[in-house]
Amino acid sequence: MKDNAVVTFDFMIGFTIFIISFILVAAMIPHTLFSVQSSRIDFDAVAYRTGVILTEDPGMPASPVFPVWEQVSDPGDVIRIGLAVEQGSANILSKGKVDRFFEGGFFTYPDDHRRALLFGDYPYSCNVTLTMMDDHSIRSVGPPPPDLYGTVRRVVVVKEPSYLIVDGLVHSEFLVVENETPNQRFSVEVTMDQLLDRSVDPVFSIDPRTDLLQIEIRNFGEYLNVSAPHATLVQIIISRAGVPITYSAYSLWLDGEPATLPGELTDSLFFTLSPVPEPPWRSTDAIGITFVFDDDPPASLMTGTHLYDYQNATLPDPDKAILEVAVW
Amino acid sequence: MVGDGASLYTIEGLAAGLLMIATAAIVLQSISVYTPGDTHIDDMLLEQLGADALAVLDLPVEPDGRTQLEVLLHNGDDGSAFHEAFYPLLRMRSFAPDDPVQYAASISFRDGDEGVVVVPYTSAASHTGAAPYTGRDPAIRVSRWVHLQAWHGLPPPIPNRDQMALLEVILWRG
Repeated sequence: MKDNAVVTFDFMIGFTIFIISFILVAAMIPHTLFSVQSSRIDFDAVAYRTGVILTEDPGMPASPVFPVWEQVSDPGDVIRIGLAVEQGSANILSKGKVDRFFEGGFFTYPDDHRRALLFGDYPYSCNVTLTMMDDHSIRSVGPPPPDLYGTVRRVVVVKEPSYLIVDGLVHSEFLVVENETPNQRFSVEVTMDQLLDRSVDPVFSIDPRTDLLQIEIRNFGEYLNVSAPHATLVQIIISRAGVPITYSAYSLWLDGEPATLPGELTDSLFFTLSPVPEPPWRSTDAIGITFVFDDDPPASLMTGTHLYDYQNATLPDPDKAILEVAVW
Repeated sequence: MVGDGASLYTIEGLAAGLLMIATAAIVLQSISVYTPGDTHIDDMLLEQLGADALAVLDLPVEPDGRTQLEVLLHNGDDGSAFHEAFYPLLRMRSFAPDDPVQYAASISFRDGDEGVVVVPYTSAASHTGAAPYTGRDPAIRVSRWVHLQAWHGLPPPIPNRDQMALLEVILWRG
């Protein structure tokens, strides 16, 4: 019997193993290239998607109790982080959301960003930068990107909250007329049904359920009784449809300093009403904010009611900005 | 007796088969590297940037008022105010110093006799001294409809009447 076959089988097994390893190695080479190539495209696509979520979506809180996610106290309750002021208002970002997103300490990088902004199984890293066009200030989240990353740039405007100014030198209609006893009360009325008019462009709309309301009284000295050195603010009554309610989400500055009640003022008052979860006002209510001054002695000559509506309230010009998203 | 020829032929056949399969696998996988449209994504991002910049300029300046773009064109801007507002939006970056995006804008309007007429409006080249658009650079086009009121200040041949005009901007990196 010849021994050819034995050698042939050894050779065949060895050669097969060699060829299989060769195929495995050869197949891995284009795969390596392919993964390099596709990941950049993938990064670009994820960056694009992230840019769309940030600029065109208002985001989503976990519970319908919260009208907007920036009111949520636990970042885990934010399902999707979007910065737009409302649905369908692409490129118009809310100042409150932008502050919440970029402030340190609320969202934890990268866990919250991967869960509620980047999505996907792959653990992407990201850097989101907002560059304001007017003063070139930069706010940023995430580490600087490495050499290879996908990026997208979006042009946006950041909408600031509205404010109502009562100026002692301008608004003399709030001064008591002569021979009338000052009632030591000045009110601001916010009519929800006027503010929630859907025909108002989102860049100018004011919604007390989600936006800050700011009231500033300037040159208060003009409203001051000449015999009194200062007035004392003793109470702020917040009412819904004429009925006083308990509402503590506000901040007060008197003469440029943070203040609590009762507080003395001679020159200026700055009042901010913050939105809360489960807002007590419905879309047809009128919100009343009444500043009550001490009537012993009657130092303030301020009276009447000012309307917080689109005629009187001022919206700062929205600032243009560049939102740049890098993903790797 | 078992012949010894067959085993040799089998090995050759197997080896040849494996080689052919390996070659085919390598070739197929090599081809797939080039399939994803890389340039398409860059174009899409540039188009998004241009569309965003025009959309932001087209936001109303005051409630129920005209937009920045409409005011600008109504006042007969010769292109310098448009350039000042539009150009930084295209080029500003935060990671890198600058993105070399160039633009050329034109206005299209409808004329009763001639149909659609296109007139050049302005371009980055006329303000920065950069090279004008050659037609060879890969470019993308974004556009925005603008309401032009009568008595606008834009020069002829744009007719003096209430009309919708199309502002078209070509963008490229150069």
